Amino acid sequence: MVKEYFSRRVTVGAGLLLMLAMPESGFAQAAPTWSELNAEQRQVLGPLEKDWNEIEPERRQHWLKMTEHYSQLPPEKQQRVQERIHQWARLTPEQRQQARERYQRIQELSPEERRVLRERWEEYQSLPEHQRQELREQHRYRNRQD
Amino acid sequence: MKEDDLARRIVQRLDQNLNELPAEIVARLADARIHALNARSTMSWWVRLVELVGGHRIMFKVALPAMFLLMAAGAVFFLQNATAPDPFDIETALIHDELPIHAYTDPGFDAWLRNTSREE
Repeated sequence: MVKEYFSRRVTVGAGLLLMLAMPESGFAQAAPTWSELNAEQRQVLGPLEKDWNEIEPERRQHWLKMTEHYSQLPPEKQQRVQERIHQWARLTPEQRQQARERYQRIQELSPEERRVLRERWEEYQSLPEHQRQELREQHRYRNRQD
Repeated sequence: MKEDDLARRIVQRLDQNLNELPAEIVARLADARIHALNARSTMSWWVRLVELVGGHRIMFKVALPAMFLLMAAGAVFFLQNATAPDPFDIETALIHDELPIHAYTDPGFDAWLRNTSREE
């Protein structure tokens, strides 16, 4: 009888303890430090080296996952990924957030509209640097006005 | 207050009867009490801990609603994350996208798009 009495309490207590002890999947993942990465991971993630140990564990896992398929990419795509990681590493947190938001908005466009947008980017890139700088100033001025 | 009087009288009668119990029964009761205390002292520490926690009704009054609240919060969190795109997925897509990341952050590109679309 005593056993029954306590087994009920043990079950409830154990359930509560289990709930408290259950880690969220992301937190349970190991996050290696820069020195623990292998040569290929260091090569791909080189631009992130300075900040690596400060990056949240879950995000580090995400970057490592990205390197898994890197060697299977054709050389030109490997180069693109390297450039993008470089660009990403140099962005401020605000710029990263802006990039994420704009990317999501652009994904709502049709494939044709996205193709046109890529062409526009190429055209913009062909402008002389001083003209692009003027456009940046124009954008900042407009934002101040708004 | 009749009930209170009745209860008081029952307690008095029981106390009176207790004092008049034969020595043999008093000894058996004492023996049973010692036996129960001995059994309790051999319980493992964690059973006693659970008893301490689970034995109080107040804990159930607090723990159960708290557990439901936690579960509800978990469900809301899960649903929000299920609908919102994973920021890591967006970053992966940005890294592999045909447009460079600067296209999403260069304010000059925004201004140029606005100007050229106005001209058209």
